[in-house]
Amino acid sequence: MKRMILLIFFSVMLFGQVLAQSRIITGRVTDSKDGSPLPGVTVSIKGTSKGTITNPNGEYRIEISQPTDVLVYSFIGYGNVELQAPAGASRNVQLTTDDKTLQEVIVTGYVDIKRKDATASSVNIGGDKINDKPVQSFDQALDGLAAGVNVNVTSGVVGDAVSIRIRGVNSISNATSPLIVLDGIPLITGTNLNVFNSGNGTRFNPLADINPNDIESITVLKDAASAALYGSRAANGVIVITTKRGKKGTVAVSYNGDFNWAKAARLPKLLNGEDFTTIQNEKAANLNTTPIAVDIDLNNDGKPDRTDWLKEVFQTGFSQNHGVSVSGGNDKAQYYGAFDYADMKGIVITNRLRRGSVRINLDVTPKTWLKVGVSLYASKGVNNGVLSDGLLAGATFAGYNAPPNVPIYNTTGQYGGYYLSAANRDLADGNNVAVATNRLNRFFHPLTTVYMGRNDNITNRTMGSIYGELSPVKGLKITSRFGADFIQNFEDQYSGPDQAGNGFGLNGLVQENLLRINQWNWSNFATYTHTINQAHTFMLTAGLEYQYSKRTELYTGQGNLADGYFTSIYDGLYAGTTNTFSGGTANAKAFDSYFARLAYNYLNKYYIEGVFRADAFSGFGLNNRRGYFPGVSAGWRISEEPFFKENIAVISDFKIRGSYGRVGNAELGEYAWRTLYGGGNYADVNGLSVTQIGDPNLQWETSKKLDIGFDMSLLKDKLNITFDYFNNDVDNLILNAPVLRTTGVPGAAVTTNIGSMYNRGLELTINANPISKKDFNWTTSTNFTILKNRVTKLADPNDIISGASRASIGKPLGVFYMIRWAGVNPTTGYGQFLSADGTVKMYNPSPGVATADRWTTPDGSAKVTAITGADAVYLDNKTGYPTWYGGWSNTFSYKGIELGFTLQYSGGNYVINATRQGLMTNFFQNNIEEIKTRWTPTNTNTITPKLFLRDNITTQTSTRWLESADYLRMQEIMLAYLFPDVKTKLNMTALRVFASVNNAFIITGYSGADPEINTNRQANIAFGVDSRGVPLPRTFSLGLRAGF
Amino acid sequence: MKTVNKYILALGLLMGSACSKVDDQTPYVAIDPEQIFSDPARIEKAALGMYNALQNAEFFGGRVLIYADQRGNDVNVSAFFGNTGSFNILSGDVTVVLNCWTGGYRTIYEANLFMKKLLKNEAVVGTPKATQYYAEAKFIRALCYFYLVNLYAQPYNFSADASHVGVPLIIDAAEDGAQALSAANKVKRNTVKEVYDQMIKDLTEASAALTPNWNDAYFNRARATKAAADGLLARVYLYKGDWINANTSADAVIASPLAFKLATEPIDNWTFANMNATVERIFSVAMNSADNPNTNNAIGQHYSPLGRGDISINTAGYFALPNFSVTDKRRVSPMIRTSGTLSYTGKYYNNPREQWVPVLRLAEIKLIKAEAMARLDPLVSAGALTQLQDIRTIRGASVIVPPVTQAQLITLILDERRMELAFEGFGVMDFLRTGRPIPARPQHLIQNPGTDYVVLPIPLQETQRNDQLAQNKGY
Repeated sequence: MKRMILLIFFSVMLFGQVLAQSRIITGRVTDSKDGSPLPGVTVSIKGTSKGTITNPNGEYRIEISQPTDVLVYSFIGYGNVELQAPAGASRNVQLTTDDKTLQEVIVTGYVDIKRKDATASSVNIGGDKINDKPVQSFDQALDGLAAGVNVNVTSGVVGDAVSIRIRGVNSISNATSPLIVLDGIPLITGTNLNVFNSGNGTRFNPLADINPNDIESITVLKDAASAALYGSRAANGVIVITTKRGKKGTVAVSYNGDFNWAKAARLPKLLNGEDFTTIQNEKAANLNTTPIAVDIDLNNDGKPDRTDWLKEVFQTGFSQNHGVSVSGGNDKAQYYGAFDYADMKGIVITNRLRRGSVRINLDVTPKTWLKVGVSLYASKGVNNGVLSDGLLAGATFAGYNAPPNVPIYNTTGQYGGYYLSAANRDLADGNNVAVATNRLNRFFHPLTTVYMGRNDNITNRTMGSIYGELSPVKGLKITSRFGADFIQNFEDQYSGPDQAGNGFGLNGLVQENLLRINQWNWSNFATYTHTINQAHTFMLTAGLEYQYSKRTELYTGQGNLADGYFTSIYDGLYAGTTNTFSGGTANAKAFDSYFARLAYNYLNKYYIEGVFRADAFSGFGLNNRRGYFPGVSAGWRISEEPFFKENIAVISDFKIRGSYGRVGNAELGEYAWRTLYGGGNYADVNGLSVTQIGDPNLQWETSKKLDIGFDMSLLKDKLNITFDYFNNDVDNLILNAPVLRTTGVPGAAVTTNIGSMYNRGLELTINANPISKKDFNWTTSTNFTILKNRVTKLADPNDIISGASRASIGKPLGVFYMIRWAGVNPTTGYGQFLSADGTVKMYNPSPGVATADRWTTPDGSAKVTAITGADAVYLDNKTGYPTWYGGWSNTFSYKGIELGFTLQYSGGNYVINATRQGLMTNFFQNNIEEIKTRWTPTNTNTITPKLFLRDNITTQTSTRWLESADYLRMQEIMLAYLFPDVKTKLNMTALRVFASVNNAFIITGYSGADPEINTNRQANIAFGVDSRGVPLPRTFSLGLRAGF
Repeated sequence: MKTVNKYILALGLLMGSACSKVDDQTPYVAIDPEQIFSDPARIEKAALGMYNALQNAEFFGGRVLIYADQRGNDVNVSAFFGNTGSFNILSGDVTVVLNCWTGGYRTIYEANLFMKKLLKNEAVVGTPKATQYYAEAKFIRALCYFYLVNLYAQPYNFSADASHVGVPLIIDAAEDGAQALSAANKVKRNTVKEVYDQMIKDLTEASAALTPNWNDAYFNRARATKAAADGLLARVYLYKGDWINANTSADAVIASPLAFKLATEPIDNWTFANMNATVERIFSVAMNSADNPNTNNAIGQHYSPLGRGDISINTAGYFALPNFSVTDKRRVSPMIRTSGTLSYTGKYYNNPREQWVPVLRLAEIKLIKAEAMARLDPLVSAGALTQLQDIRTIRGASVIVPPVTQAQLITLILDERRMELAFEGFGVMDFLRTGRPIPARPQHLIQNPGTDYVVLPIPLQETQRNDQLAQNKGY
């Protein structure tokens, strides 16, 4: 590869030679706005092919042959200036920007590249897109803003994990989240800091620790050329965040605040007490059983007790957020400091997240050749979590299931006043009959699980970094940067002695887990920029980087607390030692890396760039420890070619670019390649048991990423179009792959390279400014992504099975493999399924029928073999992953008024609506309104079969529950007023008030709460399951920004 | 310029060697197997680690016993275990069919791997010690196979020579991932006879090598002893229908120097505080609260209304057993508890998270002996009757009408097995081996022995990934 670059370099050099004669003109080209020198400006003589470009100091030198020669100063993104050659030997020129997009800086973390010079595919998102609206965490704000970036807000619980996927799912293993780099320091990866309930109780997204108001800009690096500098960690793309820093010659104070009211946008429609009774008793009657749902009137008010549990569990969440920042600086020093406090109450009772943060960014330039900066960020988050989906005791889960014909409170005042059973403190049964036999699961009291316990976590996050930049000689910059990211998460769970489950079983239980993750990163690199003959610009960057992170957990738990009054483990507050628990775990991983980048451009017309990175990662065995990740890219600005310039006026800038490279994925178990024994105590004695079987041949998962695209500005830059085609071939996919259970290995899985797949797609972004008048301005931006995924190879040709989804050769990852539902037989009301060969078979759940006689032909005339898992078929191309998505935002401004809206859409994917499946059950529990369409002798033409108590064959997972998840969401409508007169009068830099509504409405055929909900958060094969996830909120906000 | 770069490079390399921590990463919570099998003390711990594996939450943590009983007639069908109890189970049932299978083979793997590693490093501990360890591994392996073969395959006497399909007999272990991923693991199901032959071989060898007495209260009840191997062997012979050997092995247990006795009060076997002192228990899978702090899986959690209370007694079946008087100590508190309208067994009532999982106790051995003697004697075996009466007397049972035929005596013994051993994991298996139909419960009709749905299906995931693995008939 290196050789190729050199070859091109020499050939271009020859081509670029300019013959010299006549008079010489020199001068300097600067930006009219701030007087900064503009390097790379083309200076040419009109009507000739002669030209040069300015050096890094904006200086140029050109020879003219005629005194009448006209000099043309052109620079991408700036207006052209044409001037008669001066009489003297020098001329200084100022250029004015006319296209901001091209001047945008793409921050890659190691080098900053202007958009006009970029040969790679990336998206820039300005901080205002995040600062000007209320958001819980910045990642949620990315939804719909950038082509190729799919953000999945999976639940309406505050602080819950968010999944970000760039250009589809690029790994089969657990991690598909991009690497996030903040001011050059990679952040600790992971989407959830909480570990209790196997990490599926309350979840806490570590990105919620970061103050969104501090963000200056976000760059998303999507292809190999831009991401290859991050080598082994770039397979899922890279998100580079830059925080605000002080600007020279300014002093500013600003305030940013908002108030928000949130409610669940859509909730399941549960049955009321009367319908509940009818339905449950019908289930029983069809099974020849006496009524099972019987009213109770505990408070003797003469009316049967009724409870709308959803009303009890959901609330209007109120949040507020206040941030103050100060910034400023002079030539020698710049500062930015900010404080932020956010208090967010969720839509589920007691759910609340408070965060306070402080940031200080300081940059000093004591000498022209030396710049040093320090940044310090500290935040504390207090999260009052709620258990929700995934746990029977979860407030929402329990609320969905609980019978509506029992009261909330008892009349005796015992058990804290809640209506609980004496035996185990479950929600008491009222007068309902044989509940224990007919229910599927226990009924937890939806309120005691929240009010009698605690599911909190407190995070402390500290990020600190220091950098020094040395410029010993012209064109050379040496940077050393050290940063640390430290997270401490204290998880604090308490279950009261009257709380069903462990609280009751252990007479009160406190569990604490202290998680600490410390990650440091040290990078040292040098960048040398050099221009030869004022036409050939080279930029060489080379460096090394080290990273180490260690994670430790300390756990302690204690049952049998001295009194219900005490809810913590303090000295003397418990008796005995049998219910004393302690433990924890630790792991560490390290990287070391060498990297280099060489970029060349000729007259801003031809670009070529090569990157190379070599990473060693401790998670691989000695033989495969180091991975090599090269990438090349090239760009051609056609619009700079004379033939184009002279003929096509409508297009002001047009650049074609392409890149190809290899990146890796290092998100795997820290010691995945090893075979290990761990602690295996046998009750009271110590033992050692095998805990993991490692594949000694485990090697890097690599992605070969190809990207071809163009950037085009037309109609005087009123319209900008970016288009990309990408192809990402992922080889040696790492998966903790399931092995045959008969092998008996721990976890029934081995981390190994299981196969290959690809993601291909198109991305289109259009930014336009169709109307730009003095008083009225309309800007619009739309992005669209379409993608296709296929698994191309599997080491074991058999499918990898995960729930109802599979990885199967020739099919998209996560293809659904299910039994097909064949509707309700109108004559009998029984459910019907299709066998593998497509014959319809009917299942008869009636009482008194032998197992072997239950399956028949649809007319009931002949016994047939049962529908089994072997009758499942691939639902071709149906997966949980969207195949198209995008967004469309618009801002209209008239004088000081701004009206904006953002639409976001996604589709092509399917979701198993397990919420609906669960709430259409034939067991004794509450159901949804849909069940009222059940088959009865008078309602025979229906989609819902006849109800038989406890029949769960008819309701088994089948295509009956699979629904299209296409949607169009009005993500945001915002109205703002900028007080142009008041602002001037008070001499303010900004004054803005806004009112907005988030998630205003959604258009979807999906029958559940929200098609975006996915409860199989970290699963990459069985993706696309909505199992009682908490609905997303609709939020109304008022906000103010003021700057002085 | 060049010099500067050289310095930077030199500095970089210096920092490289100083800063990279890539090659120093060793696990904090795990040890390399080589470090274990080179040290006698650690080998001892790895031997105990096999019992840790035996605590598998999906298997001998108690659930395998529950599955057998869910399909018997002593308990009500619990919705928690899906269609297990209603004989309507699907091969794709992950909770029961797959997890139980997985748990069994996971436990077997621990024993197989231990034996394989030890074989290579026998010199570290010396042959006598190694023989003892192998014997423990074989005991654990046989115990797991006993349940796997009886739940996933028809009983021994289903075909004349037990040549019908059993379960895959895995006696080797993958030492690393490459071996675990090998296509060679796609094995066929062995015949039931082959599985029984292996169990008998393992247990015979274990009986010969295991210590009769650990001289340690905990080990004598929670770690394999000669009596435990003999006891399990007696059970295997009984299930095989080899009455002579069943009787001989039962005698070996009774003759054990550990001098097992029937507990004066039946609850004495079930009090958590008594686990290290019980005189009747021969082998149990020990548990403590730390083994089960947070899981649903503990046997007591399922059986005790103080825990989840999923499983209540089928009073119409269990209490209706002949000769099971209302004053029988096994029919009254504390052996029976009530909550609401439901009755629960008292065996796991208190300390539901910590209850030891019962495997062998003297009452079962005496009933094996009784049945073996009864089957061998065409008349009414007096010896068998004595064993039966021993139990009934101490349990405060009613006086029975003396049986006059061999068949009557056998029926009495089989009924007594249910009275005594209910909720301890014999449910469906005892019906099937004796060719008796499983009585109907509200969720299912009568199930005849030998029919398709009385055995669990082979997990669908396994048959789909291993084309050698035959599915059971009817699934």
